[in-house]
Amino acid sequence: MKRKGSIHLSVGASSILMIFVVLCLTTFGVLSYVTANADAKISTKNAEMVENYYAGSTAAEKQLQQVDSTLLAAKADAELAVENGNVDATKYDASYKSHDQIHSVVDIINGTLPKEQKCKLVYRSFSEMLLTSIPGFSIDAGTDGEPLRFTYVTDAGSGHHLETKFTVNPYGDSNRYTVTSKKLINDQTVGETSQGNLQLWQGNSAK
Amino acid sequence: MKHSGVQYNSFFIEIILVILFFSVSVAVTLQLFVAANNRAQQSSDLSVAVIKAENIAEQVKSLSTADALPKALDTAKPSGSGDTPHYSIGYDKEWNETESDPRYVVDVTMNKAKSDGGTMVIADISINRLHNSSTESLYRLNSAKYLPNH
Repeated sequence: MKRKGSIHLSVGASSILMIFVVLCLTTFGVLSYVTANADAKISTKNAEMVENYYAGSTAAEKQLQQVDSTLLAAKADAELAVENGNVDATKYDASYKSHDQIHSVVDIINGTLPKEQKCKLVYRSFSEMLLTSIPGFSIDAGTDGEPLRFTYVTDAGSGHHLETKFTVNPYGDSNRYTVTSKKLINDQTVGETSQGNLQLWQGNSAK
Repeated sequence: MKHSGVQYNSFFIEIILVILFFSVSVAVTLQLFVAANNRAQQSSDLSVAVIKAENIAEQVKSLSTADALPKALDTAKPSGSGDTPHYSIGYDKEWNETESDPRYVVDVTMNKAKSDGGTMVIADISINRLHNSSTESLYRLNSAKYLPNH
């Protein structure tokens, strides 16, 4: 018999409560795992991008080392060519002779300019010939009086590349080259894909 | 009386079954929470490791001479000699520098390769987590700087 004032829980109330609590726990557990997983993916993508950028930057520095050794060789060859009066004994004579510019270089060597001026002009020509023969290097158009300007790119992964521009300093300068800019450029431009969408992540890494 | 006795019996049986199923489901969902916490900890470790490595990498890129050292390595423990000096910095679980019982270790190897024109300085930066006498690699980065001779 029912007592006055007593609270009576019917059968099934605790089951309903249990189902509710378990549902809440499961929902919150799944939500927190999904959020943590998404955060981990973003962190991983960021880490990969940073790694690829510095790999591209390291490759760019190695290219600069190649530029410097090339300019040193061009300087030595220019001095030797002016001294000897011909390009035959130079280190890269085969490379110079394959360029059309060689005729103007020979004219300068055989000309009546002072030795210092000859070295300056021959060094400029030899630098241009050697640097343009390196794969990936392009010369920016300029007038004769301006320093030589070059551009090269290195892969920075994740759909980016690193563009480095430098100028070749005149003969006799203590700094053989000057880096004028370094830019990280996205390979993909808006409008190339259909519907004008910009793909933000291709999921590729630099090799 | 018998009717209320049966009712109390069914109530207790139900409560016991509810507690049983609840404990099983809590055991499963707790694992989900633990996995989420581990993932979050991994993500946090990776993010901080990337920042530490990037800091040293940028300082390497701004070196002006081949003998100079990145500022971040001023407090590092040096080892190795010659052209490949090695530096280590220990961090506790809050990523504060510590010399005793580190949880994380930043190892930097500075390779210096001389050529006719100058010196190429390459820093190999690796960040590891120490756990129960085992080492787990968190992140690795290479940074280089070419320093021409004048």
